[in-house]
Amino acid sequence: MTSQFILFSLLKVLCVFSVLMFIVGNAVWVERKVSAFIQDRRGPNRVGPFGLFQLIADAIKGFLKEDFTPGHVRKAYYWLAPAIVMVPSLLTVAIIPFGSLLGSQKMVIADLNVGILYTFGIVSLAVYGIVLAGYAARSKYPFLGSIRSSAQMISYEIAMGMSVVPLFLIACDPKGIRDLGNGWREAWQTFLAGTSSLNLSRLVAWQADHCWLIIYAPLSFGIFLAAMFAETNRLPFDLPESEQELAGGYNVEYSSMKFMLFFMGEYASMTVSAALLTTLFLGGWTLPIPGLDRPASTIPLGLLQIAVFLAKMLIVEFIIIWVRWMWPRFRYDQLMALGWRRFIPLALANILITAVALWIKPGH
Amino acid sequence: MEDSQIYEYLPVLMLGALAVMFSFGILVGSVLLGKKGKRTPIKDTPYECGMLPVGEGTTRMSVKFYLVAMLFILFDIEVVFLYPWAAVYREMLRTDPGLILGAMVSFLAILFVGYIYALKKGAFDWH
Amino acid sequence: MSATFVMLAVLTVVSAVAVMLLRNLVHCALALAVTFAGLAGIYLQLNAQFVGFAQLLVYVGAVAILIVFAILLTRGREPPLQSVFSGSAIVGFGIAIVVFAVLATMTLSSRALGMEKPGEANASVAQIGEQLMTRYILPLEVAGLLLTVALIGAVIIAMRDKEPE
Repeated sequence: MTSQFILFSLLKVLCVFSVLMFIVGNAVWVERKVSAFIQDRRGPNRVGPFGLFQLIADAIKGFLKEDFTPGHVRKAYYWLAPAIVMVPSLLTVAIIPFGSLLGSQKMVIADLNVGILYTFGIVSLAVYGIVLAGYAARSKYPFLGSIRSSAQMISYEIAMGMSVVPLFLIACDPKGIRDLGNGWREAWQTFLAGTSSLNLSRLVAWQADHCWLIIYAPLSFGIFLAAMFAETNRLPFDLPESEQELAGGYNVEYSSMKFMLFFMGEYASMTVSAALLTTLFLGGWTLPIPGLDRPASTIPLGLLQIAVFLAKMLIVEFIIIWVRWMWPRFRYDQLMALGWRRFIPLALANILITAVALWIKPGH
Repeated sequence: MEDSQIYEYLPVLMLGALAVMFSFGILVGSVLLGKKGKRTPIKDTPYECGMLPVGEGTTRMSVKFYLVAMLFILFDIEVVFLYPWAAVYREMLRTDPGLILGAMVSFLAILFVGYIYALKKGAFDWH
Repeated sequence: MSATFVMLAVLTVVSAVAVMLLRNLVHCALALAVTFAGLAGIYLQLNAQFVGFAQLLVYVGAVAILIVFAILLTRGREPPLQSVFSGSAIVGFGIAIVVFAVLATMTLSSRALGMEKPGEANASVAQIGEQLMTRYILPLEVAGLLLTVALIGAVIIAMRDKEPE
């Protein structure tokens, strides 16, 4: 508890927050451009070169719109709900290791040892925002949308939680980091000092030491990816917003920046999910290239690793956006059936297969 | 208690505070900058695709949603038990491989019986 | 007592009192969620990170959500507009005090108080896992059984009216 710790934490929080918000803003632009490309349109192209300043224009427009609170809503919850959607999606980013070291600072906001449990704990709070939005609106479509949405989110939370278990089965290796010479083990051991099993940095270390976990646990990856789409309410699982049936779902009664907060919350949780996926399955900030595969010893290398992380994350995010315009929406019964009847047994089987495989061949 | 690990959460708290300030900043900013409009009875009506609203705002929902929430709790608890197991699995494979696999397989098997029951009863059917 | 503990305890107690006093059930359920979250904070403050987040995941993220669901799904109509606080609060408060007194006398007369203070708890997830898989293996299996019973019970209650096809 030194002032240095506080200062650096504050710095990291501010940097991560600004970068996240920048990505969120531009993801909207990318989304519109990608959709335009897929649908053979031009997309935003008036504000600035390639419509790049569309983000600023949208923000100004959002702020200047009439901030209307309909008379029939429950005021306190109506105001609270957008904030409650926004905050958890921003909080999840705290444990994601977005780089190794800059100087002696670890590039993660809070290197918690419960790691993944923190993520799921916080993610489960996002349901409140959506339930409250529906309850506050006192109107049929939002209510239906919010109940649907929250049932969908909690259903896929289980599949998501289960899909990650095999990763820790594989990566919680008592042998620790292998001795590959050239200061490999020492560099990692200093880096991981003080962490314990469920820490996400350890997962990154294991992946650098062996192989990306997407190779070892492809089924986990598939389930996690699908559950991620459902958790972030993106197509093909965007039932809560299905325009044709619910006219927009839980946020129908919202206008101006309150609506924008829901919108930004969705993109923020999408970005953070992409970051989480990168960390869990795609090796985090490492690349199997000498120098980038271990904790950075110099500042330029550290920055390069952050760039590697961001690049991987943005590719994942691009895929998420791409999928939205390529896939039709599920029907609600199909969605629930997929979650409960397919993914949960599949995730359970995945855990058992992994456990038995390790049991038969503990050395891997 | 000054060495409590709660201080690890200080950065999380900072991020949380920033997120809350950001959200409420936006809400307040919107009120301050937004255009002031008139209130009309039509504007105050719940949106139902331009038609006059029928019935109450909060309709009754299928009991299925309640069942989903209930099943969610049960499976959530199961998942919580899986993590400490996963964390020690390879460690204990060296000392007591039969126990570590058998314990969790039986735990999962017991729960799977319940799952099969719910499945056969049609708890996961949505019509 | 550290400042963090005092803050968390006050938050927990105040929201718990709100659960009892408020009239609108949705307010109560949300106050209950805050109580659960406060408890999770207290666990974290005691270095029980795993328990803290399990509390957050299961109680705040699931149990309180279930309660909110139950309220939203069963109540079609608005509660009658009276005072914000429930009238039976005083009676409830009285009962709560009596129960508390009974529990307090039991706790104070227990032998556990005379025992030595346990050392600084610093249980990692791995330690919990190890204990769970060796010493507490029977309770784990019994917990599994209990969960299954609860699952079957929930299905029976919710699916009772289903007509044979």
